[in-house]
Amino acid sequence: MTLRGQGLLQCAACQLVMRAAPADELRCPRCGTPVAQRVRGSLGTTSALLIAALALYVPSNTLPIMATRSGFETRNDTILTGIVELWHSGSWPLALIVFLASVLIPLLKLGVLGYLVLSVKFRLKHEAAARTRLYRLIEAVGRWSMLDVFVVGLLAALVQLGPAAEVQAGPGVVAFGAVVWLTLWATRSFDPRLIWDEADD
Amino acid sequence: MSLVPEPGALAGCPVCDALNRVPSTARQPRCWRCAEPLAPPLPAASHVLTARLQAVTALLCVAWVCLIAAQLFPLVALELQGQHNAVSLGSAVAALWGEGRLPLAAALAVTLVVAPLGEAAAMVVALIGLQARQRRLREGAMQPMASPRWLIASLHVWQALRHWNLTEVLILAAGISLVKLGQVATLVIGPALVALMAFMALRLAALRMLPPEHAWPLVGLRTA
Amino acid sequence: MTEEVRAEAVPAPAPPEIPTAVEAPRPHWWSGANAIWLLPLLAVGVVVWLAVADWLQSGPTITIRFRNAEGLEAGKTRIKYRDVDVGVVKQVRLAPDRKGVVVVAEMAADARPLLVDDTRLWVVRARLTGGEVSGLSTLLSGSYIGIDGGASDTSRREFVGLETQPVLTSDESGREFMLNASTLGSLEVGSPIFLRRVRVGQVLGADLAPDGRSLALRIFIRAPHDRLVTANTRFWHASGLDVSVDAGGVRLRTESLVAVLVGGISFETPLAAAPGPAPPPAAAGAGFTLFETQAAALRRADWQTIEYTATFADSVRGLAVGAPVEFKGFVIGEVAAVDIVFDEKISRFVFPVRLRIYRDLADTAAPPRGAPAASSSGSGNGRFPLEQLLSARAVSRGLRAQLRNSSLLTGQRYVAIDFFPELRDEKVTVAANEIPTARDSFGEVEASVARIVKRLEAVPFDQLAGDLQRTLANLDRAVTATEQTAKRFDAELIPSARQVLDDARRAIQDARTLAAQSEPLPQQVGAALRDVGRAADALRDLAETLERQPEALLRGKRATEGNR
Repeated sequence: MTLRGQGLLQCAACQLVMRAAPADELRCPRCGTPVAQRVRGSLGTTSALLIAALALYVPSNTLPIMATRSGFETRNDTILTGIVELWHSGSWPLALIVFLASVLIPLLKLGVLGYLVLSVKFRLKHEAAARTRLYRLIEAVGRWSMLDVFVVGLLAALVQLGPAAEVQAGPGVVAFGAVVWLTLWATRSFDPRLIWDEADD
Repeated sequence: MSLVPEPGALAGCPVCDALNRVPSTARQPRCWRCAEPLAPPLPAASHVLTARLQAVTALLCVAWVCLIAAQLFPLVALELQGQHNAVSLGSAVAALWGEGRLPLAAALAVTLVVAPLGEAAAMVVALIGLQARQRRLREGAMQPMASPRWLIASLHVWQALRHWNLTEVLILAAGISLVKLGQVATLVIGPALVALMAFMALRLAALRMLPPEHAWPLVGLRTA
Repeated sequence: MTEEVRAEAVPAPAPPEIPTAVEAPRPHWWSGANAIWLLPLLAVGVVVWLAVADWLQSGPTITIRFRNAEGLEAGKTRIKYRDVDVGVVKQVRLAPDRKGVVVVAEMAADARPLLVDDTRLWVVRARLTGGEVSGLSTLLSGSYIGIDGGASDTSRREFVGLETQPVLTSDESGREFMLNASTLGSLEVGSPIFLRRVRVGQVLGADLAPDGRSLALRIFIRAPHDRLVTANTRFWHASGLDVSVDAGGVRLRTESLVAVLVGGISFETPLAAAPGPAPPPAAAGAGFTLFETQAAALRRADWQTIEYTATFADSVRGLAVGAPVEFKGFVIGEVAAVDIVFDEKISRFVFPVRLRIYRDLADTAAPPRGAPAASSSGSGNGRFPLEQLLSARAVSRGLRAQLRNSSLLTGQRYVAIDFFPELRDEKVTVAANEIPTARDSFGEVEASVARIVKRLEAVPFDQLAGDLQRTLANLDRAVTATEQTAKRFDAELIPSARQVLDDARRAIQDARTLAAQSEPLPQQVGAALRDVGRAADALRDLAETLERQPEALLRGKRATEGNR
């Protein structure tokens, strides 16, 4: 018993259930937002955004995200070297958190989204509930990847102590921020109902 | 159209497209197929709704104050070898902008300044509009009544910005920065951090009491 | 708390409560679905551009072999050419034969032309050698590797690094020469080379000769000064303080503070004696001798000398080999040797001193202090053969050799050849090339003192005293008269007059004491004369005053004059 099966639509904004009309573009009678039974071009948009995120993932890890200068020593840190440095300097809980947020979650998002897109593309029917759970997971967790971006931003703004210490944000943080933003966008543009469409048919 | 949605209202699952009928007694309904949490039904009694609206308005006003404080007061103050520096959210954005890190500054600005402020503002505006509408409906105005455009716009803004508000991530980020820097320098936690946490708590409470999905049914259908 | 709600099949037609969607076409001038593909294109483009830029910028990777890796850090140590970053050390590892370390470095793309066959690489650390402190910044920022591009055409990727910083970079133009030295002294690699106190080059290295008897020093003179080095150039040690206590006195010479600390070499091309074109600049690699002192260097080897002997009977203490032979202060030769011989004829030891006299007056080493150098192009007094000076005829006119003290302080002596008129009539027999001697100068001092005493004795002090006494008596009377006159003066004039009187009185007293003692003590005379002078001055003032205001004698000075 699906909405589409019954010829019904639900507005994504105001959650109003309405009857579909035979027209190309439909709007919600209550709030005026454009409505459609399925997100238009969801797969295409999601794929495009995923590819962009994948492409930028490489420089986000190879380019340094933070340059620390203390005294005469300058060190350039990428995401990974920053985690290693945290681990070595003893604060391993922090290292773990940053690893989760900046390495694990983005990889998870990229992987899961890719899998979901492919699974819909190739019309796989199995385990729709599990796939939905995966989708919910990355939707909930996605925003936390911005953690490292905020940390870098805060440190770069805060540690400006002249010759004693100075932190500068590196180019990698822009790439990484772009990756996070693109994956967030991709997650939003993926229509999970597509998973169930295949299961239904 | 009635004042409140009917008990046993229809609800579509946004995840699996299943058609659900939600009984009014369900507190946390879930989709029958995919167990996705659905919006809880509005309370039938209108006075409950009104009370709820008022409570949320009050919460939001306090939240606004906290938010302003969070924006203006320093988050963290740092001292190392006699040098001092302190940042608030605004000064952090300005500092990053000055350093030339424009994308980073923009990201921080949007997610930490614009989104929370905008969302809270939209919420307040929407609530005011809704309360006014409720009052008018109770006073026996004509039905169906189209809601003013700004009310609908404010609800849209609210929903849109809700997605971009990342203040909880900021709190964790501030915590991490504190620990990272605390090893080499003396740090002082500023009042803004506490204000942020208070704002977060208030906002969560407000959203729990009145999710935007509940606000929409109070808005009348627009005539095309 | 979950509650699953079963949906019920909703029969068509749907309940009327369900509103219908509104149709509202919106013109799309672009298809949103396709425009999204711009983003991945953009992203891929950015990544590719970054990768290409990085690849274009990255230069070749080289390996350098050093003996040890002190101060070299992977990822941090930079390679600098003329202080510009051209590469960075990527890896430091042990050499396979474990006798050194291999440094792997990544160079910038524009450093490619530097990497040729004869390129040199070395580690720059803080050092304090060669008269300069260099590389201090490496103390703070860490060592770095310096590179000096070679001129070869073959490119190369594996190098053996130098253990010490080369003294010169390859683009310094100039010439190398070889110096033959007996000792290194305080010289070391990098020691400066001076020309007239200007630093014009440095020592590159020193090698012992195979037989260990001498040193071969390699030096480098910078252009354009290298042209000034000719076959006649003399080099000498300018190290440290040249404290020479010789017949000329105590001399303290130093080229510069640097030379004092780290030693150095000076050179000079003395003016050619023979007229003609100047010799051409020496070729690179030409050899020279490194002399010990400036005097030794500038001494001309091609001088023609004649040997003379002067036999002294008195002590020759203080006479050193090499001490100058002077004629009236002009150096005409030097002492070659000092011998001792027992003369049986007079049953005494005598000391024949062999003198090397320069054949020509123009061939002297150094002009006397303050006198202009004798030169062949001089004012015409040109060449005067010294043989004429030291001939038998001169001897008959009183030419003798004598030992004199060059300075009482050091006791150094020199041989002075001079005319002694009082010995003119002395009969001496001299062999050829022998100069008769006169008594030495210590006796001279005595003789001088005796002469002074005699002269003093000749002074008629008694008569002087008497004359003085008389003059002073007159003065006394004059002063007394003046004193009386002064009693009539204004009070203002009295203090000065009193002063005059006091001085005059003192003068008289002193003179009287002098006369009474009748001692030829110049000091007291001097004092007396000074007092007299002061009295005379005072008197002169008085006279001037009187000249201006003659009536002051009677009426006293006018106060409006403003004097005194």
